[in-house]
Amino acid sequence: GTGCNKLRNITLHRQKDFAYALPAAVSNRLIRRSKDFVIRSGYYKLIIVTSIARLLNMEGAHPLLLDHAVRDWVFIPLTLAIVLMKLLTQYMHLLFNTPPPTNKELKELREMQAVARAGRLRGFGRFIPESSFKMRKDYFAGEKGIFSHKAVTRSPQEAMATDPSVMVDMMKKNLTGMVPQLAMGMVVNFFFQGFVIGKVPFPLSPRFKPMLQRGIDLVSLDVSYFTSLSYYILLLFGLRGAFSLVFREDVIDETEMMRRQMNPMAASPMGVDMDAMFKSEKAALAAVDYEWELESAEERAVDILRRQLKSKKN
Amino acid sequence: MAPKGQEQSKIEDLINPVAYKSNLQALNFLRNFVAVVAGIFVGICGVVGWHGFVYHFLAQLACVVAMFLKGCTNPTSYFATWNNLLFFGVFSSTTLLSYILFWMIFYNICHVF
Repeated sequence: GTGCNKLRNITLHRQKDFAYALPAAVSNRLIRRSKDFVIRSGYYKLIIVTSIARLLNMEGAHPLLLDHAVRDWVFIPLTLAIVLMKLLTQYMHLLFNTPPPTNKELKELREMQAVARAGRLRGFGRFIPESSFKMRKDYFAGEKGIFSHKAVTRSPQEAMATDPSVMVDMMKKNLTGMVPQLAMGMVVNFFFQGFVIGKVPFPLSPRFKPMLQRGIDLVSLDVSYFTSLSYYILLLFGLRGAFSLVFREDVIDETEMMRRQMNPMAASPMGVDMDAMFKSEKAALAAVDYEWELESAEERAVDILRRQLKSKKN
Repeated sequence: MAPKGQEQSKIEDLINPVAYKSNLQALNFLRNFVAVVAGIFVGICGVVGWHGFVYHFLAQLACVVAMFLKGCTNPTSYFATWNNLLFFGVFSSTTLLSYILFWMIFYNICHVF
């Protein structure tokens, strides 16, 4: 209807103001004279002169006057639509994110907890007396210890094959994460293509041009102007901060998922290769350097008292 | 803002993790909020150019002042170090990107419209 017509009809006015014409004239003359310089003096002078010319040209760039219809029909609705879509995906994620089904047997749980306990023993072993530490260490890493048995937990590949619920879980996570954003990106690209939507407040180097102006091939268009697709991506990244104000918990789901996908050693909730973990824990327990805190407690107390007396004297 | 917990000696610090985390979350919330509000303000004013980012860092420094007013008289007992309070979320991408985004949105609505 008329809305479509208004979208296509964007007028570009070039303001032929003297203030803008002057630097352009000067810079043009500089560019022409720079070619003389090449013949007479060195190459480096050409670089300096043309860079100055380009700087002047950037400052005297003709500002585009964009139609009000673009604002009314593209900018504000696009912003609102993306905000609503993000809200929707956030709520969907909250609703559908059930914890993974705990269909583990007792033995698997026991092994996982044994690994956790061994880690804690290594970390805080200095708070218990030496004999207790040795007893615990023997229980875990000794000849007949827990870690010497073969692990009962299945590796994640077997678990994925036997348990269909893991697949469903992964599909749900994918569905509420990346798919709506990709779909929205395609919709935005289809409807709002081929025109410039707004201006970035700071000047950018020409290398940002393919990033900000995807479908437009004008060489002389200022780099500060961007199209709707790049605006969409900017919105996606920028609304993370605003959303973290509203939802206090962790909002950034897609970056986490991307990071997890890039990191091949993904931490899955299943027992990740329990055998290797047993071996590493055993080696770590054997290597720990044990020292009881209470032995050095007297010296530390003396130290503290001495310092306090010194500070009281002064 | 919850205090961090007792420090027993200079060598070993026992830090209450729950309190520390909640303090950092409060600081993060404040930093995000100030980034958004500063972006809106700067966009409406129509600041153009790279010196617009200076306002962002000024606003982040104002967060430190706000923290002092909130009662954090001794930063080492609420955050781990002085540097933690000053620089925790300042260069993180969420605050910077939300500042840029809101600056852009309001600049476009008010000045390019």
